[in-house]
Amino acid sequence: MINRFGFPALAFAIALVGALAAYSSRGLALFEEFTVGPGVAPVGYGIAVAVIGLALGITDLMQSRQTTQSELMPPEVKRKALYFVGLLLAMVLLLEPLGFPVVATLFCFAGLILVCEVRPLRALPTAVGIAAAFYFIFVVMLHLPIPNGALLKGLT
Amino acid sequence: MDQSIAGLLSGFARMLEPSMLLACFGGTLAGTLVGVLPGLGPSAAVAILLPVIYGTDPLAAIVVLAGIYYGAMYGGTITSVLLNVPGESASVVTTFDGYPLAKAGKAGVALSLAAIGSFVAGTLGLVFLTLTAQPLASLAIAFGPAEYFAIMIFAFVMVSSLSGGSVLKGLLSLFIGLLLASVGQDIVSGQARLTMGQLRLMDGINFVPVVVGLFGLAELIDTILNPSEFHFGKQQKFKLRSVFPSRSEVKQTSGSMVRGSFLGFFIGVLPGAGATIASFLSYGLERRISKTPQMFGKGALQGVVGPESANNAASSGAFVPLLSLGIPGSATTAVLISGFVILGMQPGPRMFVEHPDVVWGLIASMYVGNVMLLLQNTLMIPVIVWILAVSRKQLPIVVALFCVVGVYGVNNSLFDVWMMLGFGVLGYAFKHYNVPLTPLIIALVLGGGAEEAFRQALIISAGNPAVFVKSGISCAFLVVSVLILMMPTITRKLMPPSEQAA
Repeated sequence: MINRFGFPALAFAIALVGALAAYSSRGLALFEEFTVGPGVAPVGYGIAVAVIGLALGITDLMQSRQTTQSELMPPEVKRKALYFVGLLLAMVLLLEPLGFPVVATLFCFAGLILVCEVRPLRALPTAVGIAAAFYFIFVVMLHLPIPNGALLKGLT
Repeated sequence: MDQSIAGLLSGFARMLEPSMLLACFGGTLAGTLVGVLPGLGPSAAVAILLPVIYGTDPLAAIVVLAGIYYGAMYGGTITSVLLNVPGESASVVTTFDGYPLAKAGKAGVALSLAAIGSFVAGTLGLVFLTLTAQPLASLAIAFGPAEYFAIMIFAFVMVSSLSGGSVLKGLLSLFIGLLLASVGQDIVSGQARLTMGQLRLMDGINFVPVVVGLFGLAELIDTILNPSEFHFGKQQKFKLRSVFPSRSEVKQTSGSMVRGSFLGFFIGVLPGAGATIASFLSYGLERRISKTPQMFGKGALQGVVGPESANNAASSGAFVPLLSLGIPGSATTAVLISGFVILGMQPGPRMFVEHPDVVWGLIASMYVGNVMLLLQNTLMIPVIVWILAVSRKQLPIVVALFCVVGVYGVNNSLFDVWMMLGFGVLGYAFKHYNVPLTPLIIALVLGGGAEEAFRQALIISAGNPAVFVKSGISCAFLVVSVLILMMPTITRKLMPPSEQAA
């Protein structure tokens, strides 16, 4: 069901964004002396996105669709992708409170087990190694101010 | 001509510096690995590296990024031949005959002839690039805003209609890119547009998180959902001695190399028609003119050499519109434009005047890089295959971490990282539903310039829209653009009724 309506839903969502962009730019002038105003681009492009999005969504709903590629995917593969996106979200959420070294190690450890199917005993040293290499390259060598979190705040 | 040769010589002088040779070696090796590793294409790899190039030597950074681009064309052959898994889209066609050759014990010869073909085509493409880029740029320097606007419209239309699949989906992607490009302070009136009250959007949408999300992250999600299962069997093991082709094999394939070079270069010059289209067209051409067409698909050397030559020549050809007009012809060159902009340069005709050291240094680096790639892709094949076997499992996690750290490092902002994640999911959805990403990124990069040119042209002509058809150049580009957009309708009308119904 999700796959059947996946593309129309995406197309309608994009159409809505386009319509909102055009609507929110209605206060901008469309014409200036000798040229077009600042409103022409966002209003014009917004309308174009809305119209094409609607057209694509409606056309897709009217067509009979065959089984999509994602319907043929085994559930464990889909689960892996969800784990991957979930881990990324968690990493970004926890980056400032926990700091890069801790979060990167946890992300790599969980990712290697859940996404790459590496055994935990092998995943742990690999995760520590990857996080340490990143920390060395980006923080020590390139002086990138990545958050260190409460744990390393006192040390740096 | 003399100017081009003098410029190229100065480029070579710069390229002889050890740091530049190292950058070239690093870029081409990274490109080979990118081509080898399924799930990481050249556009994604260049996008991922964008955050790292801030503040570096402009020429060294561009040499590395360009090296990844053309290096990936070489590297893609290795997995296509040995594992029947194309490392990137331009190498799909190489699997048709490359893998049967590997199964017949001729993997070494197929790989070395493909590398030689790539070298010949890459070098011939560079000669064409050297000869054409500056004259075209000199011509373009006289262009006014109307001509620029028309050329950009032409690029938008070409990319949207040739990106594959439905033209409507291409146009949707294009207009989303244009809409994103209009976010920020208006260049003429200074008014805020689509900023939703966010001060950080006043300078417009930073394209690094967008590009890394759309190309890097989306490709990782796609790789996880569509893993390429391959096993290392007997055909992947061969001795280094077997990579040297016989004289008759070289003679048999030399025509394919030359044909692939010419075809690939001219396809590469056209915006939207990149290396993948060039490789498929070359395969079709080779099969059509072959005396033994029945061998194609079963292990014809010409079926490997022709397309491999064509995709390398196309990558050289793509630099012509990029350097002379500032128009990217493919997703990777669009991302490369972002690299130039990050380094404070605007690709286009003025590049030859304002940054001749970078332009000629880049072209010279591609000659040097081609020699390096020939050696890497013949002598280092066993090492590359070993790296592939060892690293492919951990790749998504390492690359994802690189994306997050790199994007965060651009502005030290988590907002950018969230934006990257959002565009990553959108990019995957687009890939899944066959909505091309290239028009979006090209529109995001060129959209602001197109709007500026449009408004300037109107101001110069005191508001007369006829300015766009008065000049022969802009009129021609606009007419061709309209014809390309109408092509599907015209073709349908010309078809017999029975085929129309089908």
